Amino acid sequence: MKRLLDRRTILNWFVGGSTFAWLGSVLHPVVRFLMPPPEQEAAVSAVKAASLTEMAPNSGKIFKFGRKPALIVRRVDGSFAAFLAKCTHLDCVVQYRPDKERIWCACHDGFYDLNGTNVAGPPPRPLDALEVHTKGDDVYVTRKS
Amino acid sequence: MKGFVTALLLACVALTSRVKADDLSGGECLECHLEIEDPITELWKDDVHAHAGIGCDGCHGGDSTKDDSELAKRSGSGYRGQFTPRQIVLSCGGCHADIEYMKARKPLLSVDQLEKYWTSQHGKLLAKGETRVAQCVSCHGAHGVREVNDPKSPVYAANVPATCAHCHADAEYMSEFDIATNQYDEYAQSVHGKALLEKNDVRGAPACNDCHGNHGAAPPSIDAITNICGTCHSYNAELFLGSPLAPGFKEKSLADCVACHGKHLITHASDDWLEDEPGGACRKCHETGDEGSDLALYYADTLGSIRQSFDEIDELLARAEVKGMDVTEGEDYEQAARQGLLQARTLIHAFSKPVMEEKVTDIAQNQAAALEVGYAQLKAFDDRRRGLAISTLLLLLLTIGVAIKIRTLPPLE
Amino acid sequence: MSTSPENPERALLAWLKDRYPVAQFVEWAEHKTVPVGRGAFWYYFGGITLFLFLIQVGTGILLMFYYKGSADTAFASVRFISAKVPFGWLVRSIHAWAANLMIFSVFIHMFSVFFMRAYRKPRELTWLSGIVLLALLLGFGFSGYLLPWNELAFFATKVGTDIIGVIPVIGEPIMYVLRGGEEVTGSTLPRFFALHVALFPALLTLFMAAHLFFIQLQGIHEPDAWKTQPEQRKTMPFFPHFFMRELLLWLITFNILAVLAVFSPAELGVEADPFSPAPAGIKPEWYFLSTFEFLKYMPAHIGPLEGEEFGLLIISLGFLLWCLVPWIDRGRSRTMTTVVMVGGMAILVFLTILTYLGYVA
Repeated sequence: MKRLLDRRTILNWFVGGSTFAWLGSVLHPVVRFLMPPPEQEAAVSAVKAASLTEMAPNSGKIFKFGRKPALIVRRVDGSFAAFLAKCTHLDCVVQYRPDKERIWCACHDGFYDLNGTNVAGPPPRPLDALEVHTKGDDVYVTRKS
Repeated sequence: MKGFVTALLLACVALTSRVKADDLSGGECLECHLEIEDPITELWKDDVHAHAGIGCDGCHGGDSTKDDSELAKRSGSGYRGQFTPRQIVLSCGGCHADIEYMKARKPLLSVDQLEKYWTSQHGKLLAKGETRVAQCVSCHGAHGVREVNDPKSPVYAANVPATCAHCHADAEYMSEFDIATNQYDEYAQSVHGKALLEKNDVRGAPACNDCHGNHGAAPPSIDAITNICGTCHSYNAELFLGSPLAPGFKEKSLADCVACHGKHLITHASDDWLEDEPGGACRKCHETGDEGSDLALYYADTLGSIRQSFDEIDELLARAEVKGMDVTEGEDYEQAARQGLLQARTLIHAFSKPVMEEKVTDIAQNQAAALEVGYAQLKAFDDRRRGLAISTLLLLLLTIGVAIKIRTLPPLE
Repeated sequence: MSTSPENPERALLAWLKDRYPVAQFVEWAEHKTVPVGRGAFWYYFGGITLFLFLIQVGTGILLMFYYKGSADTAFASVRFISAKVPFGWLVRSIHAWAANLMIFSVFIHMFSVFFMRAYRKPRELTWLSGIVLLALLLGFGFSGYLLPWNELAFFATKVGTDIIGVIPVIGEPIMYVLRGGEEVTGSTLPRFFALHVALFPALLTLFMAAHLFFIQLQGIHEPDAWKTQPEQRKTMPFFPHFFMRELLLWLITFNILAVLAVFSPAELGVEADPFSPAPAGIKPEWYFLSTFEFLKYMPAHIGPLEGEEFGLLIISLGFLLWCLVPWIDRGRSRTMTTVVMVGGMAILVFLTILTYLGYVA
């Protein structure tokens, strides 16, 4: 019968123990990695911009498309249009003007129609358009394909 | 061989693009003037009228069917040689103010140029007999008249300042008119001048005529100033006209926007203008301690601390980024806050503390969020280091164990 | 020995022995040896490369849990991994760093084999399979670089595939297939992704198996001197002596990876925009720098060839010679051996200088 605590056994216990401890420090990140994070992916191909109920006809809403501000507009006839909200003149963020049924840049009074075409003021070119899809009550916006 | 073909092609293109004299209206007048190599004929090739079927006789009269100069200009042919300035105005106006005539030819072109001209400073002086003023030809040219949107036209947006400056910046020419001649120099240094002349923002930046009018060019009246600036800066104008300052300015006949921003030399507005120091924009009327000065002080302090926060955010995010941390979310908040600051500066024109306070709260929230991201990322970096330290320590133990184990292995023979 | 419930370890062994030639395997393992001597340190680098490959497989699989391989989503999904997934930054950074270290260690492995003249008969096929493995690893690096879909990778890929297009006759079709069209676009990304996670791993596994199989069959190359002086021969058992030492190195390598990942995590940069002009300072990964730099120094025309074509011709010839080294130097002529060794040294110095020049440029 060997002694319970000879050098070899202690060493084996030591190596075994530290192996387990170290493996723990490796497996911990792996397990945490595999757990899906609560916050879902921010910038994907489709962003839920608004809901049908929240957007009355003749209204607009700024939302984040990835990292960029974007504008979704519900026309008077109920149809949708969405654009990147950066004015093509300088870098201001445009907004919807229900009184004029146009998209307006407050900085230098630039106007775009609801197809994004620059119709008045300094903007040199149309807004970058996005694509709108509705699914149930949700309104999704994607890049123009 | 290749070079030869290219040259040949180029020559063909050049030949076809050169408008032949036959295509231009001008009849025998043009034939003769081409023969004597009159420089006018070169200009005429690009003239809109030449391509619209209007010949020399359209303005100058005479008989363009005669190939003899004497016959063509004979009395009774209606020939008029050189024009006086007044004749020019009436001659151009003869067609351009004729609604029926223009409707048939250029239906979209307005016909009020002549009418407006007589209301302009130029027109008023001309009516009094002063001939050294600008008339149609001074700006549009005589025989090479191009469309306004033709970049070679002297009245193309980017060329307007130089066209006006041709007379208005000439101190000698203007000496008898008791008017400054530094407008062009000032304008060229202004935000508008830089945008138009350097960035070529022809759609956005105003040239002289966008404020003064073109055919009706005149110094704008004080009442008109807010409306003129408001053409582009509509929100600022709206805020100002609704502000408590507007009635006071009207009462004192102050030129609204111009009172603070100047006219030709409009530079980027600076937060320093709000400072309660001699030379500050508000100090032109307000005195330390009065209501307006207090508001200015509030603006200056608030914007100052917002700017300071941006420095803090930049420094913090940079510090986290150098460590390899992802701070894009913080940058998004910062971007939103910067957009807010831009709006806050516009909201100054409401001259109302509550309006500003609302915006400031909004900015502060975004700035706080950006800072939070920065601090969270720095903390996350510390966490990473701590985790690494723990893992390394455990590995060290394991390494020592394995190393001892290796030493206890039976020795090599 | 029957299955005894008192000792489960032995019971399992007995169960296996009943069915498989375990004893033969144990016997083989006990007799497997590794030479000991001056060059012994270099023997560890093949194993380190193998270890780094295993890390790549592990972290690569983890990354695929979140990565979305299309031009619309790739960049955002990589940022999501880096910023939002717990320890995502760690997994991604380790994957990026291990890739670099693996290529570094495989180069050390190759040159150590070269200078020890271990490629000679009967190990020609081991040498050739090793070269295929190196090419595959470079392919891994090239295809993986594009996957985050950032600006730098996008333009580096453009330049890299351009170089492939220079190859006469076959270059353009290959470039077309690789890019999925005339230009590097969103259609290029899924192709590179497929190569990176399906084709290359399959091929690599195949060739690695062959490479290792050859080594097990023939044993590890021993220094030439031992043939003439057998009394100097000194070896250590693979199990457990060499294995434990290798294990130790693996652990240390792993920790180096962790340190690199924490203090220099993989960067992401800006999302690629195919329509934006190329930013200044586009450079490939360091292991392509020498090629990149070499081609840069080529004049516009050399004889009837374009400079780049000529450069590629030189590189291809060099590569061919490198493959043929076991047949050029068979150890029969001392002069030939010297020529090959000096040539190899020259190549090493040349590559180092070019890489340095490319790095500082």
